[in-house]
Amino acid sequence: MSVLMKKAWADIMRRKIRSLLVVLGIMIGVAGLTAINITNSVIYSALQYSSNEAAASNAEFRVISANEQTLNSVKQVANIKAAQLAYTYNVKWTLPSGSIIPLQIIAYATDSSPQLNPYQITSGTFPGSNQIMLESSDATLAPANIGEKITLSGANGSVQFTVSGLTRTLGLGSAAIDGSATAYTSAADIMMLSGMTAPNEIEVQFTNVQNYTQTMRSVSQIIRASGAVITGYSSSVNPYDAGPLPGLFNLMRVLAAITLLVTIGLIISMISTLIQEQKTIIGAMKTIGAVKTDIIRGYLATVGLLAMVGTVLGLILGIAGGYEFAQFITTLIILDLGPFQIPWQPVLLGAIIGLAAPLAAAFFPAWFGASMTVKAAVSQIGSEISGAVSGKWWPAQSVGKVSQTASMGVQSILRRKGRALLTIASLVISAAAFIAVESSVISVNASVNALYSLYNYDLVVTVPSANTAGVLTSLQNLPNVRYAETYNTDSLYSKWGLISVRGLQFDTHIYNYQLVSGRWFNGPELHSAIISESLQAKSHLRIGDSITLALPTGDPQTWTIVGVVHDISSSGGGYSGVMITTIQSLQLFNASSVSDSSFMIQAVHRSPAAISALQSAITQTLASQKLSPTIFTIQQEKQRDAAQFQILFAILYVSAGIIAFTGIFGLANTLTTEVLERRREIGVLRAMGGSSRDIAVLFLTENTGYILLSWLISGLIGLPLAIVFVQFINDTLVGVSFTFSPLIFLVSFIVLIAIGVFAGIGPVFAASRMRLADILRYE
Amino acid sequence: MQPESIIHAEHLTKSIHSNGLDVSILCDISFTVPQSSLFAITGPSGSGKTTLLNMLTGIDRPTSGKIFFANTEIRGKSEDALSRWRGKHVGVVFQFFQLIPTLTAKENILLALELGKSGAFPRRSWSQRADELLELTGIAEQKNKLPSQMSGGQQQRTAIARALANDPPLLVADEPTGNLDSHAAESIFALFQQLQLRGKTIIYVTHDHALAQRSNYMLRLLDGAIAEATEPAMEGANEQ
Repeated sequence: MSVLMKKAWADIMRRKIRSLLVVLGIMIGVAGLTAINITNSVIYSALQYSSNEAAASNAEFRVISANEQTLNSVKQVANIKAAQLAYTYNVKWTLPSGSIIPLQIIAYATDSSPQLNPYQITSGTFPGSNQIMLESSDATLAPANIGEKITLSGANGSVQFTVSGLTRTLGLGSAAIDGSATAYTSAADIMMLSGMTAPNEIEVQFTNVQNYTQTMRSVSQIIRASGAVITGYSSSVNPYDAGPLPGLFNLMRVLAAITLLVTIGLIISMISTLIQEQKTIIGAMKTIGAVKTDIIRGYLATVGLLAMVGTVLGLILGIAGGYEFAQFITTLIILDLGPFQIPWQPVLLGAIIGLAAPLAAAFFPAWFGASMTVKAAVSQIGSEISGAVSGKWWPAQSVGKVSQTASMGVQSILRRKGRALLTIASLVISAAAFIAVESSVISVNASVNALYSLYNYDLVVTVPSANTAGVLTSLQNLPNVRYAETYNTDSLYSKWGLISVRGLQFDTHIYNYQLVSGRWFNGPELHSAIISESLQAKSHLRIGDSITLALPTGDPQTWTIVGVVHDISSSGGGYSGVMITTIQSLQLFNASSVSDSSFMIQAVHRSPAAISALQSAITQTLASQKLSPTIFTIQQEKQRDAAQFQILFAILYVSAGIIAFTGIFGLANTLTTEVLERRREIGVLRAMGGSSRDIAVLFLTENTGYILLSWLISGLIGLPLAIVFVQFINDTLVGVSFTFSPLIFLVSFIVLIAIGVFAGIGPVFAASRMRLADILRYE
Repeated sequence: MQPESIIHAEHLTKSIHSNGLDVSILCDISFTVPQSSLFAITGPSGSGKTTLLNMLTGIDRPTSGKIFFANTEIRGKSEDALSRWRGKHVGVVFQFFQLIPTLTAKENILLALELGKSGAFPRRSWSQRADELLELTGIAEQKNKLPSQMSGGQQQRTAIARALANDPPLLVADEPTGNLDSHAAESIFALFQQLQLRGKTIIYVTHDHALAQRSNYMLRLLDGAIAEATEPAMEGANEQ
């Protein structure tokens, strides 16, 4: 080993605590980055399976009287890559607790996995007679083991099925996302349960999804020409957006980048300190023949050794932490992660950044240190590094109201301006990250609650193929029903992206519309529409303008915009906004494709128990009319939303925590370095009679100064950052509007105080416990 | 016969600009350092001794004037070139030793060999070279000790051994005994005399009049100018 390498190693071992802090800083940075990327990669791989478009159907036509001949005709349509027939039937799964979960049963003519939407049996076997195979993510709604009997209710009454196995279907999202379960039976059993005698769905896959509308129209025409009837359709194609997943992972990447930024700042601070401390050594080396490259090589070797240790530890921690976090997320949305395997890209990225970032961060301080002339270096030989500030900016000494030790502590902050700047920057980023995260959580919760009060219903009832007016009357006559209203929804593509179209009663009491401009509907207007602010912002449409939309299976229709409302539902996560029209208008428009009748109900007594009783009453009333409704309560929706947002909040808080950890190590490093640099000063104070308390006050004042300065700055930049962050969530993930809460400043203050306590406790204690004899013996 | 010179300084001046004023540190200094001599620079504090020494080693640059090392002017070299030049031709010894605290005595010498890219000594002989120097300076038994484990005299001997690592013809020492007790100071000076006998030229700055008197040549500075240039050793010889 060369002597320079020995020196590099000796420098590490000489300042063990600081070396440990450097290693911990690198480790935390690498671990955070790797953990986020591992989680990202593992979850993304698992979700890719459940949102895989390669083998998934792009659209499903609900049909009557379709047969093999119909299917063959559809296969001939241009842009159709594959098509197949399926049996689908919606039933209610009654749990032992009495609660009901909507379940879609699927069956194919053969018992083997189909060409489109293929499934993989993960445990158990394919269902035989009176057996059922559940999708594994159904466990998020109701856990059921193989061999267990479950009760399903369809048009022909209740039937018990035995769970024969669990499966995961390529391209199918988690049951937690829409609160609906999926299962497979044999074709004979689904026909027995539903009474149907032929397949009722044609599933198609396109060659090019961009030709969506044209292809849908062509297929509709072919199906109708073959004598079959289309009763509805559904589609998973959104040519404008890939869903909320990229948004979620972009969010995670932004947080990882912030973590990396803080880590790089931490490393620059550490290396600058090391070089500052070794100025005299650099001078001595230059006098015995060292040139710039020798000096740089020596310090890069020191940093390289520290980086190697920190990176290895960070990678181990990051891989373990990332996989644990991924598993935590999968417990919330039930995903099969598959066999344990470490994705190499995040590990490689972590290793490169763990080694390259410290070296890059160290290079410039090393370069500047090595560029120092021997004269500048030797001018310090034999004397202590002073670096004192003038004190003009701090009048305490002359005023005499503040103790000299506290005054020295305050002055210490500007003693090393570069280091102070990096330390404050790191603390500001930590606090600002918490302000952004806390604001996001508050904003998301506020937005969700605002939506619940905007759409102020307690239950949503969907009834297939029903007499809408009759069912509405039945619902309105039930006890504890304050309002029952019909509604209808559709999602349509426009040149501004996907629009959520809603048909509401013009005299609605449940939708608490918040008009921004224009007017509400005067009656059952057929050609008037009201748009949300977000849609207006994207489309630049104004009141009086017209908007033309077309169903893939029908003709276009034009509406005149009469008003603009504040409605952030469907304003993010791939949607451009909301268009509201009257229920009569929308029913005329999409009657050919929507056969279900949907109702919103607001109860008089709104406690969970009262709602549950009302749910039972609705089920009984409609069952007596031979109807099989699907009912969601607001509590179920809230639980489902909470499960989804829990993932988002967990990611946000974990990332903020990692950033805070780097902040702790940044401040701890600064204070430790200050203690090391100022041992002689401490010795002088001790020799003059300074107590442990006096020494502690000096460093505690410095610590508090950093915290207060950082808090003030983070308050100034944290709020705009939070607004940008919430907007980013809105654009990429979920419709959310920024909600300001003064609480965030209190939270950021508490976070900074916590960072200060954790970072300061060690160095302050070490400084106050320093013995004079040890200091004088130093070096 | 006039002895051959290793250093020749011509009309050296050094001034600095401070608080809007030009402060003169050295004024028109010219002198010659003969080869294989003990050359003392002395004078009171602030007389410009260290500044002059720093200019002789290329650590500082004169405002005007020329310095020749073995008839070659050292002006115009870059910092790195000066480092390389020092590594081969000049050994520097400081009052506070400036050993690398994390390296042992022997490793400090090996570092100088490594940094000096010693052409005179092949890499395989570096360890032997370091041992020889430790033997020469009388600290062979301390070779595996860190600076903090050695006395001041031992540290200075290590610093001298390190300065000699690349076998430079010139050794420059700034107050080499200023931080040592009289016994250690005496032994260091004896070492200088021993090195002189081996052909080395030693320039040293000292406050100690007695030590300055034992040189072959002495330059006394006062307020940046030469107050006295004598040959005390010759005077001593004449007196004898």
